[in-house]
Amino acid sequence: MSQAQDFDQYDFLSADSSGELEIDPLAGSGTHPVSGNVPGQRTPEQPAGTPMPPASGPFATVSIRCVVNGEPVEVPEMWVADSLLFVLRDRLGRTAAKDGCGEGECGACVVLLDGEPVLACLTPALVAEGSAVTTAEAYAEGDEVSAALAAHCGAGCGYCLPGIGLTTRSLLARQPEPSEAAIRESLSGHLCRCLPPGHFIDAVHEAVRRRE
Amino acid sequence: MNKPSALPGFLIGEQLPPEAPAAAPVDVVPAPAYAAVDPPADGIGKAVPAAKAAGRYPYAADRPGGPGMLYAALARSPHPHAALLHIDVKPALDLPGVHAVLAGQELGVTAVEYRGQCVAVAAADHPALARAALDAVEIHYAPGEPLLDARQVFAMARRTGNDSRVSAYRRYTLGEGGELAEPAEGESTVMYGYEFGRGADPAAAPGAVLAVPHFAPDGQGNGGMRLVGLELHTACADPMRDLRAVCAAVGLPIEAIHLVPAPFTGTRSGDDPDLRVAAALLALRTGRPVRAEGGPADRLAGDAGTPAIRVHATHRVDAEGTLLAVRVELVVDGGADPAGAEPLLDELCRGVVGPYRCENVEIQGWVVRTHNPPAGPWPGGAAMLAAVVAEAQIDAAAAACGRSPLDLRVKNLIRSGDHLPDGRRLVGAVPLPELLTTLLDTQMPPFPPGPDIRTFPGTVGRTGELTRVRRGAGIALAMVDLVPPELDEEFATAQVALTSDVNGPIVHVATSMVDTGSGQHALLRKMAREVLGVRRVIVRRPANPADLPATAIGPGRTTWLHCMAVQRAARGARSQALAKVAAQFAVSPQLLEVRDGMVVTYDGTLSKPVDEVYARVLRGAAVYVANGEFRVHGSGAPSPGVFVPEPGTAHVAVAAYRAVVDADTELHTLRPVRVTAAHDAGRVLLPERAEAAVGSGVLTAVDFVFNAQAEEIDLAGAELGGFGALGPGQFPTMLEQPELELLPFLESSIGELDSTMLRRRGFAAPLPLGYLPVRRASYAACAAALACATRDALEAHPTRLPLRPWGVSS
Repeated sequence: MSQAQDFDQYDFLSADSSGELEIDPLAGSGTHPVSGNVPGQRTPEQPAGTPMPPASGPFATVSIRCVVNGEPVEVPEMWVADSLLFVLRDRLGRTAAKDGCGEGECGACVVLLDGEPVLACLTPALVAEGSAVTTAEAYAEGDEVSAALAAHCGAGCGYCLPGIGLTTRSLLARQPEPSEAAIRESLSGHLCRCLPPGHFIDAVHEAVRRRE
Repeated sequence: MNKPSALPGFLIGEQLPPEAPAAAPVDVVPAPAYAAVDPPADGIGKAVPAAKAAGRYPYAADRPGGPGMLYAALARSPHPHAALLHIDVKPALDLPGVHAVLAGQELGVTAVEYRGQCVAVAAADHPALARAALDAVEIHYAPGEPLLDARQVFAMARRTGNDSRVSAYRRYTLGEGGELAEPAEGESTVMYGYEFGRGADPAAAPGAVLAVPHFAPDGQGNGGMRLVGLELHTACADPMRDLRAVCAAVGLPIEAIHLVPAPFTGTRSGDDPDLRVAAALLALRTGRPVRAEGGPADRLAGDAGTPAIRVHATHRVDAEGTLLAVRVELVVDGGADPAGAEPLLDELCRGVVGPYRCENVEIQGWVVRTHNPPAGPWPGGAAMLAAVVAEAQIDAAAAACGRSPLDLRVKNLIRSGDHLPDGRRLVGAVPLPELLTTLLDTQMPPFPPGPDIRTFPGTVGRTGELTRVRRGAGIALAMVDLVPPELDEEFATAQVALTSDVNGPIVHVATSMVDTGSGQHALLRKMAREVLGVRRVIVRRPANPADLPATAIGPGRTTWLHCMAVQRAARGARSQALAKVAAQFAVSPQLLEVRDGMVVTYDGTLSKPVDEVYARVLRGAAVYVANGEFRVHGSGAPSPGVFVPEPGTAHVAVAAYRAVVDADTELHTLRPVRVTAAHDAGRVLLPERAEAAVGSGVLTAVDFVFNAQAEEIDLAGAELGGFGALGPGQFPTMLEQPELELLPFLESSIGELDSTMLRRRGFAAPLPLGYLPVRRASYAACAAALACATRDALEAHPTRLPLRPWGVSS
């Protein structure tokens, strides 16, 4: 992956190659949640509803650094158990990865982690530390897979399309001219409830044609 | 926080975030405004599909909530029936980062009426915190004895004489009713009870709501703020109904809430009223934006053991296979909200005989109240249930009198002029014979499947011996009622302005129709283009965000109503613009049309190029504006702009499907191989939209017929290795879905002829615009065909849907 190669140029990442994570010592100390100096805790003087700094509550927080769509990012004060999907969508605003089922069934959340498709809803964000994450936003509209999907599958609701696009790219990287059964098998991790498989098979074939 | 977080109420397409942050071009001449609104191509356009593929299309879950946004979580009752004894939210509120917890009375809940009812909601800085807060809420239930089986309700009513739980009753009879006296010599009677479970919702379509409160200075000079309104971003199938429901739940006037319709996700739009109420209440309580999302844990699974709908059908046929009498008794388990299930009952009772002619019919139906989740609105309507029952009974009757199923269908086929069970006469084209003929002309897929093992039943590696794979084929017909007689009133309005800019003529259409992402606005553009002959058409929703469509978007007639309103408005604008040409031609402007780039008189004798005409009449940026309105009533007196079916008549959409299913009779796995679809689409305005409607109907049917609830897979797992009817998963994936062969649409609508002229010649007029609901017909016919094919393959008569092949075949 070209993004993985670009990766070395970012100093902050190579400097921290040990992979150790800084865990906020204040959080997750195991004390009663109300006692102790927990970030974001509401004090009695503060009425409910006043803006507060992002709270981690009784949860341990870390910060991670990774490359999203070629751009180095740092996510501070992230809960250790946050999913990659939550971090991408809610912390980084990359909403191309969709929140479908949250349990790895629908495939709407697929992103590429170092070039391999993963289900972002089941992948802990910690896994992305020091990795390159690619969402559908990385591809401009001139991209042949996006164009083929838009041409053939635009009449559906489109919620599954970003994930299907990424899986298709990874399929075409392995098999430049996949058969119909291979396309079906490759995309079987994505539940689309608007269009029958024929539209997607046509789209992948067209993407192959456009690549030539 | 007094700025809206997104443009409220405009065309969804205009809410697309910019592709790249503005690289502002510095031009001496400012770029003309029309450059941003290039005419979309024919079809559903290009901008929206491209945004979908690139992940930029703004679904409700993608709307930015702004700083300080909180996440909501919902706690649902584990008991189907319980009193709430004691609720303590204090431990939850003590958690840092938790901003509000509402439970019990504060949500308007005093007792639990069904499993999965929302009993507490929380808002916190992080979704996990919100869930933790709900775990900390102490709720003490006093579980009561739940009524989960509709049969219990009947038994109780008989025992006690108290039928308060039976909330609706319908009875339709034709002829002598379904008299089931002893069958005479050569006659045969088939009697089956069918059960329909609640389909599990596909996980691909979550509900998402974003509630943003707006504040303004309270004017008392102390820096205080007061609430001025609430903005609610959500996908909803019926915006006006949902808005009223939220207003009633949170106690705000209807003007105070701006509902911003978002695109649908999945065909069922992930509609969950609890999410809207929770987000609105929590946003008002905390004064912050609140996002609520419905995950799979929130899906109302109900009780898999007790079917939601039971149909007991008896058909009597003579030796020739002619249908003599039909008697049906059916019970709809309305769950906790039986009123919501009444439209389902009506549609099911009227359609359960199917598209077959029978002179003696008796149908009785009940809705009962139980402690199950609400049954209505049933996704896709009741036509599917009706078709499954009707086709299964015809197959059984054919077997009983020893004739082929196709023979029985052809012999008893309903024709225009026949009567439905509710006494209405069928009018308009009912081209079932034509559809059947084209269907029978198609090829069957080769058997046995292979050589690719991915084409075997049970998907990869789950087929036993190929010699145990049996193929079944089934043909099914379906009929969908268009304008039910009890329909109150549905209406749509539109405004069309014909004008010009430097690039030539342009049409602006303003209408409340929401484009939910499946090309509704493209249809309206097509309509305006057709009437006015102008290529550039821009459709907008009115600037007033409170202006929502008055009718349901999802299953309803909204697209049709809005197309008609736009057509009428466009015709009004056209006759204004063409008044001078009409004077030259010495005809009334209403008699002019625009066809193939020419303005022509109705009889085609006089014409003039439209470019020439528009260049003259639109000079000096002249604007021709007209309003249009279209209403539909189920009954009453027709008048211009109001469509009412003739009293006692019914318009139906029909479809004929053939499904081919392979069954592994050893391992009890199924594979739908091919579905062949023949549709009467009335008139196809946008082919890709119609094709997508068929495809989505087929997908929903495959989902419903073959999905197994998770607990059933677990049950079967003990002996079968833990998989559903199609494969290891709960839902059919692309690997298991059938190939769809869509035959060219039959367009039975005769076009735009005046209905009085048709009537004089003895024709029944088609519906205006040739409207026919393709998706519902597709869902109904496909589900019935898949069930028939599976019965054929298993050589058994399973009567429960979703199908469970285990325990059925020998």
